[in-house]
Amino acid sequence: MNKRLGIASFMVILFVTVSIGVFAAGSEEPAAAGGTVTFMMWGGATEKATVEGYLAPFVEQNPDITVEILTPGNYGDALQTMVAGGTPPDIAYLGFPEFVQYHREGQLTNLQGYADASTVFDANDFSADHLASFSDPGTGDLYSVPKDWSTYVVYYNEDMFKNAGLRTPIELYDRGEWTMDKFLEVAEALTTDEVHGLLFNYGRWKTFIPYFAPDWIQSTAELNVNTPEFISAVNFINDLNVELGVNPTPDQLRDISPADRFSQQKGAMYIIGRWMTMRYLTSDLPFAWNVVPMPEMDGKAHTWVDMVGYAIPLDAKNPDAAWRVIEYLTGTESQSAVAASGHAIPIRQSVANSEIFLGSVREGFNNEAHIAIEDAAPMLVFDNFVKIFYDTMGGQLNLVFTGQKTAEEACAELQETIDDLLKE
Amino acid sequence: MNMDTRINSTNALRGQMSPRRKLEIAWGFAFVGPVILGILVFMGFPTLYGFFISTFKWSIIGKNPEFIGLGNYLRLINDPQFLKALKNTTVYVVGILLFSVPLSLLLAALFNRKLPFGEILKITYYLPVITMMVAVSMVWRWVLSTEYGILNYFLGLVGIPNIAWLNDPKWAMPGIIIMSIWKGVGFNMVLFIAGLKNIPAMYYEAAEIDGASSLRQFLRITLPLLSPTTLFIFLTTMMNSFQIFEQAMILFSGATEESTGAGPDNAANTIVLYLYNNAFKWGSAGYAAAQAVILFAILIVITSVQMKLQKRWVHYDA
Repeated sequence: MNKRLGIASFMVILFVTVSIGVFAAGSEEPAAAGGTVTFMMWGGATEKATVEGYLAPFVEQNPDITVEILTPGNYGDALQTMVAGGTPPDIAYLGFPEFVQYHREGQLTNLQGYADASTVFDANDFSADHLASFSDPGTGDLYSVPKDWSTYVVYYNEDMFKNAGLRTPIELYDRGEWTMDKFLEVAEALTTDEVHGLLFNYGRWKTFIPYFAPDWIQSTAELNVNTPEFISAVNFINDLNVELGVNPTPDQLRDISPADRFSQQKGAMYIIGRWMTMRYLTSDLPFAWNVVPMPEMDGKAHTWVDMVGYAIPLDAKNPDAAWRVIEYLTGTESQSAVAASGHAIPIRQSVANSEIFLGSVREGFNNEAHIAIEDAAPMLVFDNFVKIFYDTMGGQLNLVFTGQKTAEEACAELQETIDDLLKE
Repeated sequence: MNMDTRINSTNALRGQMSPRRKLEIAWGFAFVGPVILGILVFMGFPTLYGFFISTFKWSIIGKNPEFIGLGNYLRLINDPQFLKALKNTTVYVVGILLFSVPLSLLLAALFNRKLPFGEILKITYYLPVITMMVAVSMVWRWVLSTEYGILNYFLGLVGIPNIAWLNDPKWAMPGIIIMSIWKGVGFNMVLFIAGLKNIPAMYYEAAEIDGASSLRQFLRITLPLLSPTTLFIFLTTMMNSFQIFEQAMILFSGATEESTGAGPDNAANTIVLYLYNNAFKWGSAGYAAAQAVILFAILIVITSVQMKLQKRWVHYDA
């Protein structure tokens, strides 16, 4: 009996001890400025080398700070686990939806004090919408500094247009004729047995929704998808294949991705973000290509905005030094290096509108297409965003695009599911 | 009976242990202590901790877990996605047990005889087992491709039209089952071969003298004497199958921008996949822990029932 009691006591003590350890982790005292800054980012060796290149001048100017870059696989899981364990990195990349989640859980350091005291950070040189996406909606305090951003544009194979005797999209844009009707017209004209006029990943359905249903997000707690406007948007995307035949089927796009189809000249136009520019540039595509903004419909063009920020987790060991690194990376010097490399759209407006960015990539490349839509801003992050927006909506709408449900059926079911998920 | 044994027996009768016996026990604990501690810390504690956090509403990065008692379990009962994941997982487990285990036995019986190139064939069947599931799943994305997949190509040869294995909810789970059978059949085959080698040849010789056919020998000698191996394979395959995760995750992620890996209309959603998504993507770690506890309970119940029933069909004495 005593032995059993002893074993049970041991188990309880072990459980309580480790529990306390887990819950108490993360309450260590902050270190002074300088020292080692752990910087966690996604990407592989190439991306890491790029960031090291951006940081090289900073490291030289600040010998008291050592930046240790971490690039774990499965970034999101790794960051969550580190934060939960009380050992987060000093700086972490956060996408704008993830930012909301971390901020809501109180896991991010308020950067407003740092920003106010800084002589480098200049809020006026950032888009107000961009800063708002990384600020507390109530107080307006900054909790993450935008790193860079990307907008969706139309990549096009210039040779295909010229060979078909058509005006190129950039020519149409310059003439003010780059409308949705024209966009579909040229897509149809370029579609053959071997080539699709358009390559559009159905998973990026969000691109076309604002054209038809700009107000489908009423608030963080109210979404309207079972409306004629939203259904029209879904049908529009579906008809790119079903009615017009200009876009491959989902199966075809799974077999050969749209990015590969474009580089293999199996598609004339491809809607995607800035990151594809560097891939195509380094691939040295054997044809002339360029980018143009999304087409207008009813006098208005829409695009999807992706944005990533630098955040300092609340339990970071070295927040002061981390701020100095962030301050540098989002400063004009570093942003100019980002712009010159062509990797991303600089977050600093003065740099984005300068020749450093507009003249990057190669001569004649239409960098301006990425910043042409002036009011482009990240979407409002509503409650339960990841589960609703990416997983539930993406999955349900895919049933429409694979011909298993009508848009009406899918949207009606989606509305019920979304309403439940918003209450979760 | 020697002197030591007599002393130990006498001490045991008095309820005491000899110093030598005590020393032996102490050394025993010293040797197994680190292992026991490891099991307690790395297996016992996480299990208990899983029970503990299943009673909280807690996102994995949340600072203030809220105790909700059995709230997560009540939510599970009414969660159609969880029930679907449970059903999908059951279909998968049944599919694997029905097809993979008999196929392994068949192959083992085949390779237990002397065949030309038998060793090479055995290695060939075993190769997928030592290949990473990630690599296998990537390859099978191509095998199961609707238009360019080799599986549809062969089916087409016998007049079967293209099947959208990865896009049609009806075919998502059969696609995963086929891939998993291909991946795992070699492992069970090797275990069955080991079991077959342990059956003494004299039984077959005696049966042949009595004029028993090959089928009768298989049914009356091989199957009963292989039953301990069969039980082991059945239990381990079942437990592994209930934990299916990466197959679905890799096969189906990237179909749309979502990356839950749950497949079209959640047709490939499984308990562990759903658990993972809840914990790491949707910020419901407490709810995910409740799912893990349910899975744990299911495995315990099925394993216990099997262990009870084994007395009726497992024969340990050859």
